Amino acid sequence: MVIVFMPALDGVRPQWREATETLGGGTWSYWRHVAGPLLTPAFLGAWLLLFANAFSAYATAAALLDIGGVIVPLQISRALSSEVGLDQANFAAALALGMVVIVAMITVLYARLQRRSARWLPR
Amino acid sequence: MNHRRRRRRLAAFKTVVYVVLGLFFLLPIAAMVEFATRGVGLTSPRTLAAFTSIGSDPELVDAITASLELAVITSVGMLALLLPTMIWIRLRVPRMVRPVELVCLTPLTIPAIVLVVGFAPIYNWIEINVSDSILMLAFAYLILVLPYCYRALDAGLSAVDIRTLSEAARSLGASWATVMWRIIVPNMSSAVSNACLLCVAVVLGEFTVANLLNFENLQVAISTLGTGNARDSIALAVLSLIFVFLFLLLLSFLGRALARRRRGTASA
Repeated sequence: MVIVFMPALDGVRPQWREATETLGGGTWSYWRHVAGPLLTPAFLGAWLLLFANAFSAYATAAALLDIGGVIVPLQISRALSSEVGLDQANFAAALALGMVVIVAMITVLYARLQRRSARWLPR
Repeated sequence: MNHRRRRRRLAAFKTVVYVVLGLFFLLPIAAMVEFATRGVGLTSPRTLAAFTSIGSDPELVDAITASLELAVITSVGMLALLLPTMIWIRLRVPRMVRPVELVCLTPLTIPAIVLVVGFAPIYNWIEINVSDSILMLAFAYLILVLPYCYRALDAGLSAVDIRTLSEAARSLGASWATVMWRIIVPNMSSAVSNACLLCVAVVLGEFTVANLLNFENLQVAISTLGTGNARDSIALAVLSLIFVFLFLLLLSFLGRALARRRRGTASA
């Protein structure tokens, strides 16, 4: 989150704060009309990345939970390494394809948000 | 609000944030170290037996050596693959820069668990026809580290004006190999060390692919050990954390020393 959001935070120039003050706005007006709208796309982009990361997290869940397929990655691992020999590799592939579709949509949205927030970054 | 009050409020806010974040990161590690150094029984003194017993377990030692070997192989392979390619396409085939960037950044968008679904049949074939050693995982890890290392090397390449340097060198009679190895690479040594560090960090912390392909690397060993012997597993986890941290410090000092030396000789 920090690495993704920092460039946007660095791009907020102190002149904008001074301009708000000279026009009579306080802290609340600054955040509501200036910094908030500028930082929101970057913030949403970072949130999307975190969403994709949490969506595909496997290691923590596998280490903490012994049994059960409560999340999709665990279901995939259960289908892949079934000891009963049920050969559910095709089921795992279908789940994986669904995950790819979701992550692809997230990536497209993230690219759009990045383009919007990059408008205000120093060139 | 006048400036002095605001600055004091800001300083207080910063202290609070640092303390909270510091606790958030250091408290679990402190708890791990505390747990790993406990003696048997409630009143026993602190002991490092958990750490020393790691060396006497052959399976653990195998897993640790395998992870270290994989880290080395993956970094060397990644450098051998990416560095010439990136320099070459920037110098000679500029219209391939965007497609290669797209290819290199794709593994970032595909979750590791999805990659494993694709790797599984390939590794079945590899285990039968090539080798069933854990070092075959280097192929999968090369793909996993591509995006991070591409970005690190890309940052280093953009900082150097390679077109001018290469034209100057070629006009003085250097071959393309000389241009690459003796001119461009020394100028991006900090980017190369960053890429290697990322490689090592990713490979040492990789669990998903190794676990689902039934290989025993460091993280899988920690996890399986944890099901039976919690203290030794936590000790191994602490050791691996400390190792990666020290390695990071070492590489960052190395990068800074190299940059300082070059700046010194350039201004001399």
